[in-house]
Amino acid sequence: MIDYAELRELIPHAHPILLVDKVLDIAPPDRITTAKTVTGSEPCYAGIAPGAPTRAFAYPPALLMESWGQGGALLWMRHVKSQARERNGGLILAAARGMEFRRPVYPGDTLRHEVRIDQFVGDNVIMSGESYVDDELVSKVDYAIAVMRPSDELTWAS
Amino acid sequence: MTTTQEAGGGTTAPAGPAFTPVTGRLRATPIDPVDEIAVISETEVVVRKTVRDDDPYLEGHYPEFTVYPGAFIIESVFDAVLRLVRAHRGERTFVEPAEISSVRFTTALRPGDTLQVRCVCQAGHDDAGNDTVRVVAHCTNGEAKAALVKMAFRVLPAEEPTGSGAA
Repeated sequence: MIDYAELRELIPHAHPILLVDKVLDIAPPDRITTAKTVTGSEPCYAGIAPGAPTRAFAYPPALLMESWGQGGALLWMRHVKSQARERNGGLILAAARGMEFRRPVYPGDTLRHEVRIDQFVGDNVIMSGESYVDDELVSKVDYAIAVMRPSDELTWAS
Repeated sequence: MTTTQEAGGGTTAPAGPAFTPVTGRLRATPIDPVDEIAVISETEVVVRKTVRDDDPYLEGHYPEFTVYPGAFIIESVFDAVLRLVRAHRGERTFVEPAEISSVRFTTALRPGDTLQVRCVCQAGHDDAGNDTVRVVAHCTNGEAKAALVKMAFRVLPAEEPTGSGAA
């Protein structure tokens, strides 16, 4: 299993955008389950006006996507490491299709992300998966492609 | 395309939309996703957001070099649509994301870049009969395309603010 210290070393994301708390299960090279608990102390909850309605506190879709995708990044970078290679630059979401958001996520909810790497293509991966709170489906992704690029060659083209 | 006719018969450059500064957060969001907004019509809105080094979350993305997470562009689309819907359906109306049918990111954004998002919206209904808004968002960074986002939102009926004392 991957502990928190190791996951911090595997992917380039750092506080406060390291959005994986724990690896629950991993089946290299293509399946991982991670957990992330949403808390009201995260920066995304700063500055919301008093009296805002409940739905104003739904976890932002960008962070939900990012948190899910970081599970795939962990699996991917572990695979890279297992091949005695090093990560080279940043990991960037290039495109996605078929994402559905079934219900909002609020502070106190623990997300369980299930990520599959469907294809390794050079320095790119194609992923799919789902996110749950308890057993309730929160969101799903049919297709997402992420790319690894050196910092001086930043492009999202896959 | 709109042009302005001058008194002497010449033309000036096309008039751009009139932007209004935006302050305050309507909802949880990783960054302030909209700096200024221009509501063009009931179905079209344009917003701008300048990426800043001190935007929350960017210090960790990444420590060795800063690049704006592509997913954050979704937050600008979300806020643009929320503010457009509120402008026409009332200030307590809310929207929530329902699906992203496709998104493609084409240019990385760095601090100092200004993202412009033009959303063309179409009202409709989902299978359950709920009001929806489908959006095609053309996202640019200067002359460069930054992303193309096709997504849909559920329109939620007005909710009383917390602490309002409403029965």
